[in-house]
Order: sequence, then C-alpha cells, then structure tokens
Amino acid sequence: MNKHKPGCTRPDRRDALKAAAGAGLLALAPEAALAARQPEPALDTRSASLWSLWLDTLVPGAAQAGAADYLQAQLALPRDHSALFLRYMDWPGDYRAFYRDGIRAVDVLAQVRKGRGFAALDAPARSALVGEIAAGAPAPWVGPPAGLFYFVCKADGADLVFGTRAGFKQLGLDYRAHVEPASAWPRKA
Amino acid sequence: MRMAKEVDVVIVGAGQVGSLMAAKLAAAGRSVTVFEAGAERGAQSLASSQIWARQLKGTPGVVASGGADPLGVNFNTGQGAGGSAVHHYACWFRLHPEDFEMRSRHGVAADWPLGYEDLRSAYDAVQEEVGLAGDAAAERWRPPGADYPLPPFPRFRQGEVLARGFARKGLHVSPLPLAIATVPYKGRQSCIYDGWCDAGCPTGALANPLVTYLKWAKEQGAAIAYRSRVVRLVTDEAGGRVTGVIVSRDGERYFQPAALVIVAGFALETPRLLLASATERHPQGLANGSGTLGRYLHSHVAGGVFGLFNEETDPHLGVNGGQLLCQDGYAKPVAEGKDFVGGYQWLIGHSAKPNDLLGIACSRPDLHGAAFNAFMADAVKHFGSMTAVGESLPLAENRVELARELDEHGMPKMQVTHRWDDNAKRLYAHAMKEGVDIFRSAGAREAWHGPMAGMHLLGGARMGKDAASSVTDGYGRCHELANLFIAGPSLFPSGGSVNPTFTASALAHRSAAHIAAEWRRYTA
Repeated sequence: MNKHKPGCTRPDRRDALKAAAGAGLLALAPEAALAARQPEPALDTRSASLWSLWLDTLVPGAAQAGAADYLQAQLALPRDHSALFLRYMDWPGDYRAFYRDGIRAVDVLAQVRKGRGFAALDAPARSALVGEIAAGAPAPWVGPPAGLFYFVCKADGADLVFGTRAGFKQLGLDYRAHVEPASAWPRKA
Repeated sequence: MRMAKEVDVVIVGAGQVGSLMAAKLAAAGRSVTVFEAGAERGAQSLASSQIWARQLKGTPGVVASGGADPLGVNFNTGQGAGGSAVHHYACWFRLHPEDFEMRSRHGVAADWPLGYEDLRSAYDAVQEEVGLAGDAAAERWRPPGADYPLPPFPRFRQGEVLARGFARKGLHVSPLPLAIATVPYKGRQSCIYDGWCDAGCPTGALANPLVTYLKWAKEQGAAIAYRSRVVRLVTDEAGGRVTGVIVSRDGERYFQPAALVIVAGFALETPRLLLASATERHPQGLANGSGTLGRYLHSHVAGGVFGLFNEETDPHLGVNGGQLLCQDGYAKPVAEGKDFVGGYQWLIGHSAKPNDLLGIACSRPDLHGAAFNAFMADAVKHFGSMTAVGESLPLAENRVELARELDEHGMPKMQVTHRWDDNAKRLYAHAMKEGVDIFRSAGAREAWHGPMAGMHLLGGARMGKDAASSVTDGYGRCHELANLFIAGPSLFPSGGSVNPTFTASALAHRSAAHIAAEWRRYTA
C-alpha cells in the first residue's frame, strides 16, 4: 500500500490552475463592479445588525468577517444561486422570512427572559440564551424551528470565520485552491 | 405548438447515467438529444470553496420533504451539466452478489431482475473507461471482476491513525476504490489530494461527467440542450409507445419527437415526470400499472464518527470520500450481536474542510462561542472521521408524489415522504457503537458520533421481473411502453450498503449496449 510522502502534492500544477482560473473569473466580475451594483438590502438595518451580533455570539469573529454583508448578498440571489447553508436543509419557505423571523424570535425571547433586547445583553446572558435556543424548545418562540435556526446560523458563522481564504489562514491551513473563488462568497451581478 | 425535427433518442437529464447513455448511443450512430433542466457549466465554474460549491447542489421542485424522518433532498441532488455527479465523492463499489437477491435469500426487500454475473462485464467496462483506482487484492470482500486500471490512493496520516484502530479490533481495511486518477489517465491529470472533490473537481482527476461521459457524448455528436425542462412525455393514441417529449425553455413549449426516450432524471425527477405524464390510458401516470411508481424510495442509512487525537492527523489532505474501506460488516443475516438484516461498510479518513455540512465544524453542533473556536483550532490538526454506509429496506410508503403547486414551467412540484424502519435504526446504533470503539482503539482522546442521516437517493421506479410489482424490466424498459426506458438509481429495488454511482453506471452501460443491439425491436 502506498504511503504519503511529503511534497508529493505538486504545488506547481495547483498554482497554475489557480492562477489561470482566478484571472478569468476576476476579469468577468471585478469586485468594484460588483460593489457598485449592490441590490436593495433584503433585511432592514436593525435586523442585519442584530443578526451580525447573534452570529458573533455563535462564532466569535463572524461580525468582523462580514456577517451582515454575507446574509444580505445571499438573500439577494435567486434560490438556485444562493450559497446559504440553509439550502441543504430543504427549507421549503422563503429564505428571507427564515432569517427575519428567526432574528425577531431571538430578540423577543431576550426581552421576555431578560427584560432587554438581545443587543443589550452582556456576553454571558447572550451565551445562556443561545444554549436555550440550541436545545430546541424555548418559549416564547415564533419563528422557524429554534434548533434549526441555531444550527443553520452556526454553520453560517463557521463559513464566515473558517471557510474563506482568510479563515483558513487564521487556522494555519494552506487554502490550496484549484480554482480561486472570485470573492469570498457569491453576490448578485 | 412548435415541433422540432425528430431524433432517434431523447434523453432527459445530463447527469452521470444520461451522459453515459448519450455517449454510447451516439457512438452507435444514433442521433441523440439530451435535455437538461439546469445550466451548462465547465471546469472554470468549479470554484474551490465550500461556500460557492452550494450552487452545484440541486433545488428541485419539492414542496416538502416530510414524514417521520425526512430525506435530505437538496444535498443529495444536483442541477446543470453533470447533475449530482459533479459534486459526488467518487466512491465506486460493486454491489455484492447477494445484494441482488434480498427477497429470495433473506425474505426482505425485492430481488433484482438480474444478478451480479449479468452486470459484471459492465462493471469491468465502466471502470476501464473512467479509470478506477484501488487494490482489488486487498479488498477481501470484493466480488470477482477485473483488477482496477489505476494504482490505489496514498495513505495519509489520518488513514494511518484510523487503520490502527481497525487492526486493534481485528478488523480489515483496504484502500478505498475511487473514480479518481492516481496517475494520468486518458488525458486526465492525477489527483493532487487537496480535498475539493465535492466543490466539483476542476482538475479533471475525479471522473465526473464533465470530463468523461458528457464530454464523450458531445464528441460523438450528441446535442445537449440546457435550461430545457421536459415537462411531459407524449404517447400515441393506443398508449403503447412514447412519441416524444414536451420541452419548456425560455417561456416557450415545443414538441420534440423521438423514436425512443430515456428518462435519467434521478430518483425524484424521474417518477415526477412519469406521474406528470398521466393520460386516459395511463391514469396513474406512465408506466404505473403496478402502482409502484414513486414508491420504495430509499436511502442508505448513514452516520459519521469523529474524534480528536493527540498526534497530528492532517485531516485536510486526501479526498472527501476517504482513504480506506472496511466491509467486514457487510453480511446480511441477523446473527449473535447483530440484531438487524443487512450490512454496512466504513468509509475511513475523509479529507475534511473546516466548514460545511460534512466539514469539521458541523461535527460539533453543540459547541458555540469561544469553546467552538477553540475546538476548531485544535481539530484542524488532530481531527479524524469516518462514515458508516448502511442498508435500509425499501418501504412502499416512502415515496414521491405530485403536489398541487406548480413550478415556473407549469409542472406539478413534488411531495417526498420518508421514515426509517426499526431495522435501519438498529443498524445505525450498532455501527455507531462500533465506530466509537474503533476510534478509542486508535487512541482518540475524544470520540463521538453524528445523527442518523440519509445518504443517496434510490428507488422510485424500481425494476423487476413481474410487471405487477415493478416499473421496468432488467434493462430499464418500462413494462407498459415499448420504447420508454429509465436509467439511474431510481431503478434500484434495493441498494446494498455501497455508494450507487458505479452500479447505476454499469446498469446504464448494459442497457445502452442492449438498446443499440436491439434498436429495431424497440423502434419498429
């Protein structure tokens, strides 16, 4: 049986693929042009800000990694172009409503439990609330299933903090792209 | 309605088996048109990112995946050129001889209308065409067949560590057989072990349809029509033959006549199309005289086992499917210490990315906050994983049905219903206990397992000898329509305990040869 030998991964060919493909994709969709064509936000500013805070509680670093931009960008895409983890969950309803209602349910739960909105809680209180939501049966909860909302959002946070080139670098991993993605996540052209 | 020029063969779906049949029938001199509902794509669209790769996954018209244990639909399907095979893991196994005879040998499921020996030469031919890597001698469980054309994969540190656990438990492992080039093969380059397989391997090492059968189909002259949804099969007045298909594209519907039609839309879309094509002669849907169309949908019961080791494991290296295989648990009968019918196998040592459903992060859904980030920092160096793939017995109640809601083409969407039976639950519990024990034997400082999950979609249009209890014969020809064929895993009466792509390909290879040889019989 063959054994792995260090250095057998032929970085020369990987780099060639990465360079050629990355150049092509960037030529088609330069970041500046994409940014100039931003669609109207799918979530209002308060909801996006709250989601960013919620995600940063689940996976520290998510807010700085662009949580709000990520969600707005994905919700602006047609369903079959979305890169949301939610896509795997066969969620039959509207993706915007999933997030909008989930965020609202988190905030309402915080109000009922702690007398303040989620943003006004200190870190231990936020974490305790996350634990309750993760367990799946908080009350009151009016939104997508609480356990599913937690699971999906945490996976979103893992995407943002650990799933990009910057995230790999933070973990000490070589990204080893074959085709360099045009940007960390897709957005509407 | 506009009518297109008649062709010999229409194929619905440009995935693995649709592409294979297109390549073979075009090579046999037939004019072939493939209709694919999704978009065209090439290697350059296969970005190395688990985030971007979600665009490869399917978004079929499913109103709801329900029942006691809903199946994962989107993750298991695909859309566009190459279908779900573009993001598949390339774990290619042969079914075992007894997999074809579950009813007569074990009193469960249904027998296939053919046996292993009927399919053996097709397995051999397909593995030569696409290039399988493995070590046939080391696979002590492997049915007879030609040796693999490519040498096995190298073993990385994670494989070494986990193999130690199997050895200490008295279990055997072999290199995992993979449809991935370990050395250059037929113009394709060899794998560089970076673990981007399910993001759609753009190097050409992984034998997805973009670099194999779909490419060959186009080279042989087959026409591929993208963003073209077949919404209905049309029959003659007597209802004994299909005369063509109605295609929806860019808001227009047109009729495409054909001498022979092959539906290769995977386990959900295939029954959906036949059900949506009901006529007065076929009120329950085409080829549904038995009432079994859409039924006996099943999946492999799967569970992941995970662990952390003190030594570094390089979990990012290799391929997503794994490094090693163990089929010591493949035996079917109930026995001492085994309270379920059917077997399972272990796929060992997956290359895991930090994020995504099968990445490191989702192995610990219970952790959040600083504890989760600390776990990630540790796990990217010390993680190990393997997956049990187990047999589940097809149940008639597990099915695809048409919903009332229509999609953008005016075609009824689907409702999917599924539950696991107690046999599957016992298999899962048994395998998870064994898997955690193996990890501990390998020296894991922590070991745990994931939830019971479905893996692969099978059935829905099963083949059989008896027209009263099946949809097609052993070549995938519908019992009630002389020139309508089905290809793909929807034909499987049972699924064994192995990933289905190799068997679906072998079946399609055999059927294509049969259709080419018997053309006049089916089209006269």
